[in-house]
Amino acid sequence: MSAKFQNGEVGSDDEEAMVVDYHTQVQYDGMEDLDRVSSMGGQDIHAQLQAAATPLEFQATLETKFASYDNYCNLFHFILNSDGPVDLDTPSSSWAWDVIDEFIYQFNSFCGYRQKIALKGDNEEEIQSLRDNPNTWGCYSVLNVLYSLIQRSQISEQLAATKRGEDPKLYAGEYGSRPMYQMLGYFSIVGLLRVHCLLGDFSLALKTLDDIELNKKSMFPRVMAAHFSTYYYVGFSYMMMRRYADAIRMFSHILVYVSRTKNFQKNAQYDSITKKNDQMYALIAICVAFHPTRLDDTIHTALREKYGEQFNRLQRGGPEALPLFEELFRSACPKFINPTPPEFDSPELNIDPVEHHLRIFMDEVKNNMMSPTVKSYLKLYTTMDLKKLAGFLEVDPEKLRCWLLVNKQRNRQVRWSEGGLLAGETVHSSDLDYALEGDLIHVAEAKVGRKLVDWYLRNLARTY
Amino acid sequence: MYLFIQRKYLLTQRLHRYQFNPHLTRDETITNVLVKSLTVFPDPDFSLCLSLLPSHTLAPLNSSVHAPAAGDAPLSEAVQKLNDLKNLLEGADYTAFWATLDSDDLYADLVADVSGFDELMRVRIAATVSQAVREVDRGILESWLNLQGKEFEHFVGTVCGWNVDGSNIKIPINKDNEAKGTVVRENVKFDRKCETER
Repeated sequence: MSAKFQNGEVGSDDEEAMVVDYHTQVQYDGMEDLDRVSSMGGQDIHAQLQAAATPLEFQATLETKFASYDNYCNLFHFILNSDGPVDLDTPSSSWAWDVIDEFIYQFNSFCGYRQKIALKGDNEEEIQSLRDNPNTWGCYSVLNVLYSLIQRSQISEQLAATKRGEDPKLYAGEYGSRPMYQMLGYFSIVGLLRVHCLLGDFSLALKTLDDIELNKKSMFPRVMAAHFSTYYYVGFSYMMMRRYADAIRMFSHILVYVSRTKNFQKNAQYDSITKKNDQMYALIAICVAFHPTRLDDTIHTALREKYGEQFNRLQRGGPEALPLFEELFRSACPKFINPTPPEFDSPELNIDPVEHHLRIFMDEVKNNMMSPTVKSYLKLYTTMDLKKLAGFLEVDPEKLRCWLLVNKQRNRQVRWSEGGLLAGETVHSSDLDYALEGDLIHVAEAKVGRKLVDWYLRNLARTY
Repeated sequence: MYLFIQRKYLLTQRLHRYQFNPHLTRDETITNVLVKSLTVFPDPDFSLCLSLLPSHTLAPLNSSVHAPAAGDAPLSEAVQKLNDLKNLLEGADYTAFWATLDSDDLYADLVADVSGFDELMRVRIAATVSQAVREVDRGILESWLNLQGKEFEHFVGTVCGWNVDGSNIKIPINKDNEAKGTVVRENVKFDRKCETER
């Protein structure tokens, strides 16, 4: 259906390429949905707007899911492809977020459902109807909707103008000057972050947020769920890109925010984020294991309460910690999506994408698992003989040499300082540094000097 | 550097496109992108590329279950072989990396399309070594770089600019292998001073 949307060549080559690909793909499925669109006019548009933002029942049947997809298609087609911008009173201010959120949520759970059906392979009827509708809730359609909304509303141009200190209205155009388009476009950017992350393209996910500044002046923090979801996906993407310091910064920011405001947010919206909240604590525990650092006190206390012993085991590393990393990752990662419909004919190819990403992640965990042990020994010395240390650790000296190199490499991390989310420079990120001179390990530590200012201030206040 | 990043970006984009269009996929292109991303280790590019591949590519191979009809067993095999290389590289086990690379003809086929693969890897290995090491035994460095004799001396001396000192190789001090202790000092801002005067 979405072929009739305005096609999103959102300024860069890759999107253009995707559009081209998309067209080739569309030739396969034909344009069977022309008749669906004509049914739009007579219906109660307000009921539709409301429905688009309302979650499906948990036990919704496959037909309901198909129907819901058609509804979204109709609605977005109406919004995007009528003659000129449509004039609609949207039910509420957070409506735009709810629509985009629910749209992606249904897409996500549909993909999960389809995956499960294909893996089990015992429900012939549903398999057949999934086979017949390979493009229902297809990635291309979903991405196309989001990109089209972004482009129609010229939201990227508007945000870029704001960033330059110009008046965004000059760039808004016919559509973008209307609040509904503006909000839909804006939240589509946030939605894209999520979809790209679900598809496993973490760098592209972060790149989509180039125009949005992560600060309180932006629009997304006004909707709590959007605020929350943005930081979760940004943090997760950073983690998968091994930028643990940045990931911790993201998770800490939002977790502190939630813990400070939870007393004002005792409502349904708050309940819905409790689960994500726990997931983020798990992720922050993982990140701290990779990149030991001082956390905000509130978070540290909460981590101890929630994960206590597990948190210590993670930080200690070693082979015993591996199952724990696996368990936490599984419970805290997003429900990844396979970009293409499953192969119903060969069930063994339909591996849950979560397993795929878990494998990739666990390779990294295994690679790092000895670092905490090595570090804990090195902290005790200023110089150390490699063979002697190998004796303490009961490993082959050459193995230890490898570990030392690995740990050194992992201490160098790209860290954001300004600009887009992907920007950053490589910095040495540990308080422990060392170098090998033959078999001699020189250890150096970054110490924190005495904090005198507060002491002086306190005493001055007392004396005068 | 910018061009390089652009290039990396384009490579991932190609995988990104294949993600959605498995019917356009060419195994060779995928493996070439993966091999290319090996040459920038220890940056996470290889893992990020893996994330874009179909989820069955990393599933354990089981030749008896894997009928040829099931599609791209060769691709899974190639991907997993390359992943083994990546794990050795990221584990800084360079000696094992070279041995593994030599152990199977499949590797030779896989890296054939990336010109100067060995040389690129050596430069990368040398770079990671120089971050952690000031002086290293010649034998160890030879096995890390998989070079001996004149070739070794040429690479170490001319390409890296390191000094061969008998049986030891000396690596000039740089920012990373210096390992100097630092004391993080408090930064007193002017307005804090005003507080005291009030």
